[in-house]
Amino acid sequence: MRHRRIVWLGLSVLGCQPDFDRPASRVDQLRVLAVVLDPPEAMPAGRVRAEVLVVGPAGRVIEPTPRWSLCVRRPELAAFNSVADACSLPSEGGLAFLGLGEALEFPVPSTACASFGSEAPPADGEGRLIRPVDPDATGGYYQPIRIDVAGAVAFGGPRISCALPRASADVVRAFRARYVPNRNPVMLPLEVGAKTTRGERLRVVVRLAEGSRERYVVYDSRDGTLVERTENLEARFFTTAGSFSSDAASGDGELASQLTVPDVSGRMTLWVVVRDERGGIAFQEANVEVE
Amino acid sequence: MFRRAALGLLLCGALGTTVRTSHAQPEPPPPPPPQPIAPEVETSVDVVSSAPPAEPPTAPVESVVVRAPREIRSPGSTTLPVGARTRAMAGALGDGLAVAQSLPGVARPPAGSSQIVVWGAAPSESRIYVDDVPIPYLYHRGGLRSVVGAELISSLELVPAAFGASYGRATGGLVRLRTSLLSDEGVHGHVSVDPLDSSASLRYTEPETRGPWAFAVGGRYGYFDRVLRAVAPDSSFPASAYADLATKIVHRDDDAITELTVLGAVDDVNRRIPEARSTGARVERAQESFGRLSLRRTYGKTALLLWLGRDLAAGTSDFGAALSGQRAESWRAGARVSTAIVARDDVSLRLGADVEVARHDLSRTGTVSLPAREGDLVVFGQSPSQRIAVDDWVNHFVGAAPYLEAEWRPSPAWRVVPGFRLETFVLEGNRLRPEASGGVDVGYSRLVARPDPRLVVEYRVSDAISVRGAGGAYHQPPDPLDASAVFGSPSLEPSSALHGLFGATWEIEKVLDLEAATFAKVASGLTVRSSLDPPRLAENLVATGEGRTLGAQGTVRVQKWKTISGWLTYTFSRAERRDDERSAWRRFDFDQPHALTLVASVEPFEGWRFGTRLRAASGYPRARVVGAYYEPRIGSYQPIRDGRERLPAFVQLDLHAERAITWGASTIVAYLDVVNVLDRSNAEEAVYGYDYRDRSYLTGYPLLALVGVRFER
Repeated sequence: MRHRRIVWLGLSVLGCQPDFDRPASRVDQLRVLAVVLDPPEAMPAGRVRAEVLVVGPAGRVIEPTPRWSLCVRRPELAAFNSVADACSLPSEGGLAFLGLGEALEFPVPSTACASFGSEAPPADGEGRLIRPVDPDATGGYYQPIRIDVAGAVAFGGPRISCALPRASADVVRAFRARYVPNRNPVMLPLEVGAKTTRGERLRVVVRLAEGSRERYVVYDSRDGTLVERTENLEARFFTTAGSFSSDAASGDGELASQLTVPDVSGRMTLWVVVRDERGGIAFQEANVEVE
Repeated sequence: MFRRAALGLLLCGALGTTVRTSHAQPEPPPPPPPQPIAPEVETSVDVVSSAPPAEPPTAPVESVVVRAPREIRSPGSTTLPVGARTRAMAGALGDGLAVAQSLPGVARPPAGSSQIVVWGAAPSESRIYVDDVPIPYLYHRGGLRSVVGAELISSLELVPAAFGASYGRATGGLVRLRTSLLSDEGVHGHVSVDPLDSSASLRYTEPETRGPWAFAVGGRYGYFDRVLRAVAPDSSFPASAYADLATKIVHRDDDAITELTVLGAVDDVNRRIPEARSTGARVERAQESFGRLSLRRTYGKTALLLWLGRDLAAGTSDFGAALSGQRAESWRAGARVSTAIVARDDVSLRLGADVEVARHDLSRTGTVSLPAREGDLVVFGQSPSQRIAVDDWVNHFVGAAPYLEAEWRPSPAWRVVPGFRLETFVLEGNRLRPEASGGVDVGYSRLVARPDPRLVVEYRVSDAISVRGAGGAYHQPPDPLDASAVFGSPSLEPSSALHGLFGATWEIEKVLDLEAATFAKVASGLTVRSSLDPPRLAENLVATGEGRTLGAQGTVRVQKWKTISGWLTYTFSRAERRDDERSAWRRFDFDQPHALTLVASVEPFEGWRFGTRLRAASGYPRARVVGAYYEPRIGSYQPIRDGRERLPAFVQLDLHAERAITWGASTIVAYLDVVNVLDRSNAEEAVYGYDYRDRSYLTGYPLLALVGVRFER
């Protein structure tokens, strides 16, 4: 029996890495930047309101109307993608139409924990047990929702509250007592001036309301215990013009990036999207006139 | 961004001095064809043989020429001595075993890869032996250095398929290294320093009149990772901090040779890999090591081998939100006994037994998708799934295989070698289902027996022309890393393969030989991901995969014409796999339909040697990206994949030049090695911008020049 060498397939290369000149922060086409769920975590059969942030080079986009679909197929167990191919390729038939609009309210399917969570689906025709879905590092499971806007595709979806996998009764009781469902972070308005001059550098700082960085417990299946954690927040910066020193910022400290204003006059729009590690999302927008 | 110029300059200008000291006493010549069929020990190039040589040697045996082994062999296989000539092969960067990646039948490896792919077999499907002791890999991470110092190795044999009954537990090919029997009397040694590593060895053999002992010790310490970090800190090349050690003691008496060998190697890689999204990077850490202690005693035609080993492979890959890691620690032991018997004038037998036992302690945490498996549609740089799982498990393995080979010579022109090997595996594990909280784990133990018949037939049309066919059945036990109830399946069965080869060799005046070979391999029971969606519990992996490989290979070898030697080989092959009998066939991840290699060296003047290596090969298949979607929750785009496409073809030309100045018993060799003389940007992976709309290629070695000086005495 062989001792297989651990090789991350396809990564054993020298690494003359090309540069791509389009940073992720530049909005140069219609893009979906955020899908905000309220609440971001819900029980199966609970109701959730979803809102999408669609932007383009000219600012926020209202038309065309986003189309919402529910993904009904769980992702392949070993897929790199977190969404099943049957949902990312519409021809595969993994979607159920939800509605149209910039915002939408819908019920979380009552079978969400069996399809996308810790509940094992019913045994197959031969009576064999089916493998449940694995949680993410925060212990979370998610119901994917697809949004289509003029060729741009995004997936969001609420975190679903499912039972702990293979946990003892004591741990389950303790978890129910201590776990607080996720809430979206709350951003305060961006403090960038309404006007600026060409070539100037602006520091864009994310300001959050008290309590945005929540504490929560997660089940450690290796030790069979509950572990308390504090959410990590990440901010993403986007702009229709100019460039950010960093497209993203995360960690315990200040979430900030420096924007270099372009050398041309005109109006530019900035967005900052903050997400917590349990699927909570918030965003802010600011318009700046370059003189 | 990788700094091509900086690295090139470093290697051009800062390559250190290599100093080697050794008595210029050649190894003894290879033995004549064994009569009758010989046990494995006597196939060594420098074996002491009582049989008279077929013809007296006229030159030192050490040569880069690919030589036909003395015993009947499968078409397409290669044996060559390892030494100064293989160290001087263009592109070898001074490692005498680097030649293995340029031999006929070996696919062109990706730059920085330490894997060996032969005739449509995945690296894990082939085995590597040093004196019949299996080792887990041949090269240190990065593929620039072998794990066994070439100073101790006397020969290298590559059998890409249809190997004999002496070997098993692999459905691909074999790489066999033979260590020297230390027959050069006196003290020898070397010291070598260059930008990749430093090495030293010491050998001593008592004169025959004084005693029966000989010993050798050698080691190497690598620091290329630190050199690379200094000049190209952003490089994702898997440069490793490595070291290896080899020690051997030989005792000769009147009727037996006893060899005690210790081998060990460690690797530690810590590197940053850029992600498709512009804000992230993966930090990968891999630690690997192995050690082997072996004792071999050879009495005439009977050999007994006992060995003990430990392997450790641990790796983590940190994406921030998703940390994946695995650890495998294995204790291994084995025994092999073989002997040869003359049954009749025209029939001889070789029989033996090959036993291995192992205990594997394994753990994994993180996503099921890492490490990716053969067949996964992986896009380079993509973050893996953030779903994580955890498992710890223990496996035991016992493999015992008695084997028998008979060589029948019905006439001087015909040789027929039927063989039979009975593969028996005991597969044991501590957990048949995922760990249950508060529950009782249920283990398993299975005994599997598989008969593996083998056959080689040779017909000598004339003294110069021979026609050979070979084939057989092969079985390989499942990988213990796949036996997790969470990540894989404890119920995997051994995979199997059928090999069939046919070839002809035309030897022209012992100067030139031409070989043509066709090959076919059919594999079944390969471990693949379950195609059920969702998969059954503890059956994430299933043994339903199938493979097929068909190809032809032509090789021209110039053994020695005036001062020219080398080989030209071209392989056409088509390797495909599928997950089960209902799935469509797809290209094998390592499928390389066209592979051409030219290796040549010439010594136009006394003391001058020039060499070249030209490699051209098809690009490997990779996932085709047809679109992407954004996931605000994880802050990155995910690719939409549809089928596979090939990377652009690979072409690389390497050159080597050296000048040797000799006075008395001393020699100074100055050399220049130039890699990728054409400075061609060979695509090794397709890489994408943050939203997968922009595509480019991660390229392999830039133009590199290495200079060195070697002192020999």
